[in-house]
Amino acid sequence: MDSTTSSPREREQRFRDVYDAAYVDLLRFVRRRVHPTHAEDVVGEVMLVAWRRLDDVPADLSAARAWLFGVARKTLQNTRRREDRTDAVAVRLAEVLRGSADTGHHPDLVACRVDIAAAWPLLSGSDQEAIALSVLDGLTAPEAAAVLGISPTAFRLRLSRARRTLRRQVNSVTAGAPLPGHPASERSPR
Amino acid sequence: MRRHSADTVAAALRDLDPAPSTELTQAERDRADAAFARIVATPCDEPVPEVRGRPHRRRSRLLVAAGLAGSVGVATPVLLLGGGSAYGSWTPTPVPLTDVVAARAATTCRAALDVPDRGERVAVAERRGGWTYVLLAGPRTEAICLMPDDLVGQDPTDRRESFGSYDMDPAAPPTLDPDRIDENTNMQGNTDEGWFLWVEGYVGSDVTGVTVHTSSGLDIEASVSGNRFAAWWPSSKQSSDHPAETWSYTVHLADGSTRRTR
Repeated sequence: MDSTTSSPREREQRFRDVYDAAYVDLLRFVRRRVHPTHAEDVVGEVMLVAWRRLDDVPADLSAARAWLFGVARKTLQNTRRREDRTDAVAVRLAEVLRGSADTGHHPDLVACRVDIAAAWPLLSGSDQEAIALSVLDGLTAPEAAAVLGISPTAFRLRLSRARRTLRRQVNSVTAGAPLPGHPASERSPR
Repeated sequence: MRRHSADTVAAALRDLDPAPSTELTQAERDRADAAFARIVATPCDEPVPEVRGRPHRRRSRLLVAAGLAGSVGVATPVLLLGGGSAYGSWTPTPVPLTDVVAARAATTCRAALDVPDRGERVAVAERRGGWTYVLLAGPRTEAICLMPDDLVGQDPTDRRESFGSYDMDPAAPPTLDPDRIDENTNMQGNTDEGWFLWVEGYVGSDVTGVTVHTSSGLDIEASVSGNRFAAWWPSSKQSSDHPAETWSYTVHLADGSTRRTR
């Protein structure tokens, strides 16, 4: 517990501060992981948790954002069908835009986008999650570790492995020999 | 074959962000404001619904799986999955730890995971060959560690071979019928010794023993202590050649009967 808010007015103001500071980032975090039409509902659930557990929300806004991401991740896990339940929450990428959308971009970058888009689905949810937390969600290692409930050291290990796996998959894709995707440390619940 | 630099990969990933940085539209802002108003209109001291709820089976998190620097005492090699020599000292029957050793293992586990002592109890502490397993349980934290025996009582910051997981927001224990068990987590992880699987969960009041039967043909006696059970075993990396391993349980009851469960 990082801070305690006393009066109702102070409590609401503190929640307003957290809400305003984190809403957009939280919405983006969720949109990367669920269909966009469901994202606002999930954000509403997460913010309700934050309101009711406001004393548990870190005072630092950056840390509070990571705390909210962690709640969102758990919310997404718990709303899955049981058969689909895994520890990791898979992350989707945008469709690769071709033609005019690539005009003006460096050919290497365009090629890389195509390769990554092809390799990404071959990664485990855990690998996707580690990379996305770092690159897309913009979290530091301690913040990403807090989202996942692991230590920063463990997150760095996981991220390093995920990056290696992505490189390997990208190279496989570009070599014209796509590999079947088999999560390394994930398995389906029985 | 094209090879891309790390910077190019990162830039490409950001280009593929399905939720790029943007301002809220007016409609989105209106909905956000409406949601805020609804939320602050609710009592703030009610229990949080379901977000912290218990899945029947939830999987834990691989926390540390660093290289094994030291040698682990190998006792009786057993035939393991795929004929490998991973976890060669592993035994299907656990040896319970004394309270003193269990406390030392708990201390090492907390240090390895950087988890503060919030008064968690040692729910399960066992040894299988050269490996020590400890499960710490409390209302605010649950932590699990699997470590070489020679790491017990040592400073894990000097040696990196412990691995485990923790949950800082554990669900409340389930209410079970006396003859039932509930698998709480299962996890696959690996070290330089190879891959492993562990399971842990809760047992009803009449349960005296739990046996795990794996699709690879192992019969493993789980540790049962209080209302918890736990077991782990050497496994194989999931691949097209080694699809996901499955397992079932035999539950041993106080009246001497057994019950098979999926």
